[in-house]
Amino acid sequence: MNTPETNELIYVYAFVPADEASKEKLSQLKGIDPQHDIDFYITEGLAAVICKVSADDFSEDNFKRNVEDMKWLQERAYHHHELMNRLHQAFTVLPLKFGTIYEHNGRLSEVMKTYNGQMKVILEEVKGKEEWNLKVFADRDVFSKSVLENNQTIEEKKREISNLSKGKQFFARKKLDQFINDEIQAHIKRKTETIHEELKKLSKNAEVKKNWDQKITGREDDMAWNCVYLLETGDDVDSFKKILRTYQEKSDKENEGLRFESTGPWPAYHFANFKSKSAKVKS
Amino acid sequence: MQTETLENRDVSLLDILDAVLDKGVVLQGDITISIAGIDLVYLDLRILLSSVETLMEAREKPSVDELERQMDKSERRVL
Repeated sequence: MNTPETNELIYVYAFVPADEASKEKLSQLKGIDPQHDIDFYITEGLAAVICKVSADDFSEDNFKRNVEDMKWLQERAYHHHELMNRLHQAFTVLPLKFGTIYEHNGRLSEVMKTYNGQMKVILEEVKGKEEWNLKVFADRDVFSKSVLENNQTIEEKKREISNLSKGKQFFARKKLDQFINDEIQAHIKRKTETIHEELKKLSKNAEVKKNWDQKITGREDDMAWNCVYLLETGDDVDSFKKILRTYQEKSDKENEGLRFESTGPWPAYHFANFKSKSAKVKS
Repeated sequence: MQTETLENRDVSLLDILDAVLDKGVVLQGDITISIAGIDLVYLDLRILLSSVETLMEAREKPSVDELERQMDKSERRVL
């Protein structure tokens, strides 16, 4: 293991436009290392929101070890999240992921110069906006009823099966189960895609995420949709919520077994990737 | 200890990790959740979430077609 040259590293939370970076708004906020307050590092029209951290906890090796400790990770991830929300309330922010650490100001400054254009484009894009996450859960037992009712293909297949020999019936039934399963999945998919198209019209950007496995959610129903939407703060957020309320009410009324769960407002975590960004501002 | 600042409904630790970790909460057929930072940040860090340990139990089931093939074979032997 290499011994770090100095005992202090720089933890970076976010970038904000330099002209918004007023110290009063930070008012002695404690950093991720409680020994240090939150501060700005300003260069080239950008302000990095930083906190000095001890290498004892945040050097590469120590950090890797620490994040395996759920309690340590949980406390710091919450801190990162809460501080980001406060920054998001006060500034236009380009939020960084948890665990963005630089060895010294020189490295940080270099990155702020290299990606200056890209960062400024993103700050312009996320200004006055917020991220909302939508997860749709489907109770397949409930949902399957509406799929199975009046399904001619399934009825037909069932008739065919009854004419087969015993041994063949077993596999034919298994195949039918798989067919029904696929039908249900296709139905849920069509449904969520329709909703997604409607929400996308309202959004400035959207990113579809992977559905979580039941083992992760610990729920009986399946996650059928997981997506983040970048919305203009205000009316569009109200419309977003209204659309979801309407779908939920409709789904409840028709006993469809769908749950629409949204969280927000989040800072634009999913729309802040300055490295894959073109530096030119779109007109 | 931590107060919730998102306005509507409780946000779980998983939701927060999914937002603030670079690769989010990703299921990769095993129980790892990966974080990859940006630039000088620590890359490709894999952590174990104790809450998803049960994933180890998930196992591959043979498909119906496979079962049928196996059965066909054994039937032929009997005949």
